[in-house]
Amino acid sequence: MVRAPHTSFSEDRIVSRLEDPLIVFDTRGKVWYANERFWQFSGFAQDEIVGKTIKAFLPPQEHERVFGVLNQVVAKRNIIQDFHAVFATKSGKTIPVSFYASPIGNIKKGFATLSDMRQLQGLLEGLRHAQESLQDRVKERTKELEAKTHDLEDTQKALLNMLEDVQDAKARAEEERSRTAAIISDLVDGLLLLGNGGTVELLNPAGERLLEVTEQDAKGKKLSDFSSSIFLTCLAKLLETQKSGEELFRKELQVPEGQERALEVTSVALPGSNQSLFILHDITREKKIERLKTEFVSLSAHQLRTPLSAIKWTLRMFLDEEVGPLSQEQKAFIARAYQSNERMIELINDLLDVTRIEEGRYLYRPQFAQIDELARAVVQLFEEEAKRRNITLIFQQPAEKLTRVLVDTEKIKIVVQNLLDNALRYTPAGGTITLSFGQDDTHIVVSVQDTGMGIPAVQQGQVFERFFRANNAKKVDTEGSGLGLYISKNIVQAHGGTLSFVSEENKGTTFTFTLPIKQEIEEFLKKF
Amino acid sequence: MKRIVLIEDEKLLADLLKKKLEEAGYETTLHMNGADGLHAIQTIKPDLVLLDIVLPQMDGFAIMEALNKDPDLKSIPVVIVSNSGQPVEIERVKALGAKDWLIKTEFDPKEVVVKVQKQIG
Repeated sequence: MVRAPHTSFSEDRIVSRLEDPLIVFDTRGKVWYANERFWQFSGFAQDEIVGKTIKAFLPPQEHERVFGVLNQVVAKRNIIQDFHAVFATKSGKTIPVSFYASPIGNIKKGFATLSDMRQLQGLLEGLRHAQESLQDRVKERTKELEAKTHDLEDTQKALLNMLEDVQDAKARAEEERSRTAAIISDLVDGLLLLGNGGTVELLNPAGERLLEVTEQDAKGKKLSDFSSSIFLTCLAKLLETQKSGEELFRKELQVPEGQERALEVTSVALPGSNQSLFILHDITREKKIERLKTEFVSLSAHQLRTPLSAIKWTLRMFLDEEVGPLSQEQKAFIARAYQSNERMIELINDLLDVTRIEEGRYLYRPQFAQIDELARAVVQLFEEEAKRRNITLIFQQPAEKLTRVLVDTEKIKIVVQNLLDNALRYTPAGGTITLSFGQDDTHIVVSVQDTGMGIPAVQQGQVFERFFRANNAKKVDTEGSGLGLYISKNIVQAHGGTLSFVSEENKGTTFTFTLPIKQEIEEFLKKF
Repeated sequence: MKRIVLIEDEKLLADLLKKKLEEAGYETTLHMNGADGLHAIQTIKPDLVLLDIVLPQMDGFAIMEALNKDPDLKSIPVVIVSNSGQPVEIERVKALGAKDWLIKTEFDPKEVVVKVQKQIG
């Protein structure tokens, strides 16, 4: 503790130990006392401080202002608080300070304590920093929030877009569904959807009309639960006998005779579903047209037969010279006319056979026959013609005796006849026609092989169509009706057999037909 | 002389048949529609009827049905001269009692006479 020599101010220990720097000054600003903290603070020694004016501790620009204020403290006995000024240390460093100044008793002196503002400023600075950093953080956070908001907005937008998309998709799906519904309901064909267990799930208006039952009545029930229409009953029967997984394609619904309406059923596979879809197609009109066409052909053919018969009979009378003798030339001409007429009759007969096949009226009279024997009789009819055309006709006797089969012998003869006739027509002179036979456990096989012009590859798919004639065949022979193979195929199929061929243009053709030995041929024949 | 009623609407065929039958020694009357033909059978009561199926006014089936209902006429043999030769048609006339049939396009007039002779000599 150091005492101030020139002062009546009795310091005490408290003052000297004050934490803040303290000075005592008079009206002229002369310093009378400074405590230890002041020495340390200002950098001056005690004896360098006492006796100096306050100005010695202030930078020049602060002299007047600080002096004026402190003078007021002593002269007017004001107390000032928190008066900010700049302090100058011995080393010339300036320190911001805050003064607290008060007069002391009646001794015309006052004291002032200084607070180092640096700390405060540091604090403030710190605060400012803190504030700034807070602000920064707030800003950052705000930015983040903004970014997040942005993100959220984006997300929201995306969600809205998605929602829109979903709504669009939904709208589209609804549109699609209503379009599908419209198509289903407006469809000319009947649609029948059966669910698991064969219950009706959907029946469109056309289906309602064709089956004569409303969807409302049919829904959830089985077809066999109804007997409202003959078509429904027959459809139920058809589906019952249908093997599972077997597809129906344009199968005509078998209904008792006398029904004007005719229906075709097609099944549509719905993969991965227990449901089965059926399309009901009304073929009443087609059937009617087909029937009218058949009737027309049948009628015209009949009408043609009458005058042809008259011509035939007349020519025959001439040929038999019943109406007087003829010259050789006259006879030859009339014989040719008679042959032409015969061909015409054959053609008409073919046409009638076709219409009968199509009407299902082509009757069959089954009897047991030895096919090779039956064929031999036909071959004999062609021997003369083959010789005339210089074609070798070979009848290849079967190696083993063929099993007798149940056939309509007249119809099978027509098949052999048609095949031999074609072979002869379309095989050039010098060629060979071979008729051969075979047999396995289930079928008799008959082949007619020729070394003829063959059937052009592009036309081979049409061979069994009505009125089909191959391009190369038409050039050689203008007479064929194009009905023989159609009729033959129908005959063979009615027996439960098949008729097929292999052919190469300019090399030859082999037609082969099979006839079942033990199969339920009677079943087939019963149908006719 | 044995009498034949020929019912056939195709004039040329009818004339040819009539000529053939007459040449073979049969008294033949020709009728061009079904009603006339039936009336002729009822009045003449012939030894044989040669009958076409498709005829104006009354077809061959109807004539046969009418004959079957009449005990006096039932036993008169009928030979069908058909245009079609369709098995259904043949089955039907057989069921109605036709003795024989021939299909115009497949037979010569000569053979008609043979068939007639087979029935009534």
